Amino acid sequence: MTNSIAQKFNLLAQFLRAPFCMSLRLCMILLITPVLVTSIWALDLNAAEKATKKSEKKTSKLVEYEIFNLIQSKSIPKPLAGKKGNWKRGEALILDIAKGNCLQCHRIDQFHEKAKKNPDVYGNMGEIGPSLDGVASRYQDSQLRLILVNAKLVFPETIMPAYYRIDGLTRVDDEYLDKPIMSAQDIEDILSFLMKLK
Amino acid sequence: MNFCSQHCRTCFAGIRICDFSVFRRLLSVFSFMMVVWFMTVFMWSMVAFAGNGRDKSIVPRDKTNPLSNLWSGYYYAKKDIQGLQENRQENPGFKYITEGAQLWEQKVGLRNKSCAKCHGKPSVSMGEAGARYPQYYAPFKRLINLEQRINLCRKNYQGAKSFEYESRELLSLTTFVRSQARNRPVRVKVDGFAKDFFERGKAFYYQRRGQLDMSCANCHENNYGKQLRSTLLSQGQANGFPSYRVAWQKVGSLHRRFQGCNKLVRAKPYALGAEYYVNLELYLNWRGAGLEVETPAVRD
Ligand code: HEC
Ligand code: HEC
Repeated sequence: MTNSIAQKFNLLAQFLRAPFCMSLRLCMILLITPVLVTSIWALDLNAAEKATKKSEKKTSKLVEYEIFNLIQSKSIPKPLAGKKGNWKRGEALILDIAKGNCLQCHRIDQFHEKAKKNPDVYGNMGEIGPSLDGVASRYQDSQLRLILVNAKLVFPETIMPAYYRIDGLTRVDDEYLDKPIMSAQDIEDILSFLMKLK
Repeated sequence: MNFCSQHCRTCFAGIRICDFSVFRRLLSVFSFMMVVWFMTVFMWSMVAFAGNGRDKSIVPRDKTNPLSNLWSGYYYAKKDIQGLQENRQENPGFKYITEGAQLWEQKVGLRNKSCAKCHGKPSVSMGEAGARYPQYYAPFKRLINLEQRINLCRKNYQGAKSFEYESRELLSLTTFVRSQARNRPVRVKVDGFAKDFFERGKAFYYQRRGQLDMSCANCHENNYGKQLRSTLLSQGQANGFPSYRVAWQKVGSLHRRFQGCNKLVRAKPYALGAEYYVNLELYLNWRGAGLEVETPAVRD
């Protein structure tokens, strides 16, 4: 009698163990997975790899210019095209999306009046760069010329494009290859408009 | 199986011992299941009743993330665009999901198999996959993204021709698959085999390019939240793709957006599905890890 009871218990124990383990295992897996997944997230990665800096050279395709490198300021004293700029044309270039497109990043407050009448052309000015109001009092024309030609020589990490530069660029689209964003004359025109922003 | 032939004395109902033990076993399994079930329900209700968290920022779990707070592109979209995204009837992306669901069930190729044949219920089998790609693929020794995974399944398991990138069919299937992970956090694996490709994606992100000489970081890391003329710059997150863009008047892939951003800076874009873009996709998803998948998002 006792023997058969023990046998029964043995069988029972076996019978219970397997399915019990299954459900236990299932629960453990369900509980542990989120922990595992989060620990993957916590893995450290290498520090940011700096984008390579390219060396600066002037090429023969652009008109020659000379950069003056004084202690406090860099500048290009001589007009690029040798000609004086036309501020009216400069204003159009500043607005032109395909040329200067300066308003994409900069604000010019004297446009606010015009923006009321013509918001598509003068409105929606960008917030990425500083306001251009008063730049003529902050900088000399020679300095502004350099900022236009290649702003990275003045503000090394800036987002502002170099408007008169064709080398040291990466993967330029064929349409724009070996062309500066604007011509030497365009730069002078924009400059003469900027000089009015006292 | 018959364990005993006697009635159990402890059981007033007069069932036999073995029946009783089966009963008890079932009960214990059942109670475990109940616990799990309650936990799941609790977690899901937390998600469901927390409201729409898309216009809030989250803190990245990975401390090496250069962004201190993550915002979905949803946050930077206009109110009406946001509304469009959340409305299943009006969001044009849901049409792609419907089409994708049909493709999912369709038997195709030499083997005459549907996706459903191998993967079963999409909400179960694709719920994680949608948030996990791109992923390392050993036979190719590089990463593949969701689009490429779908095409591999077509070729290898269905014996069918792969879809062209950006074709209506591939967009529909990708949108359908990724939308199974909607509201789940993006989580990609960037260590192990993927590490190399991750690093390349990161280098791509910080590389200045094009005539305007700008990197992705120039706009999306240093200037998000600022107005670029009439557009508000977002963090350029990938969590909503494939997404419907009003400017495109259709759903488009992340790689199409990459091409667009490349063209913005007058750089020569890469081909859709190019390895450069897949690596970038992984890096971008890591930058946004933890943001909810919003596919199909709606953007300007
Ligand atoms: C993509 C954005 C962008 C565009 C386009 C752009 N700029 Fe800038 N610009 C900047 C930023 C940003 C700065 C601030 C410098 C820095 O990065 O620290 C700046 C600085 C300047 C400065 C110096 C202002 C100061 O107060 O220090 C001038 C002048 C200037 N830009 C003129 C222009 C003109 C003119 C154009 C168009 C021909 C133009 N910028 C186009 C982003 C831009
Ligand atoms: C000239 C600035 C500029 C650069 C450089 C740029 N983008 Fe963009 N990007 C935009 C604008 C503008 C939008 C549309 C508005 C938005 O969502 O920010 C956008 C949108 C995006 C989006 C869609 C975000 C969403 O939620 O739908 C992604 C992804 C993106 N960019 C990635 C990139 C990547 C990757 C790079 C580098 C290859 C890059 N961008 C470079 C301006 C830029």
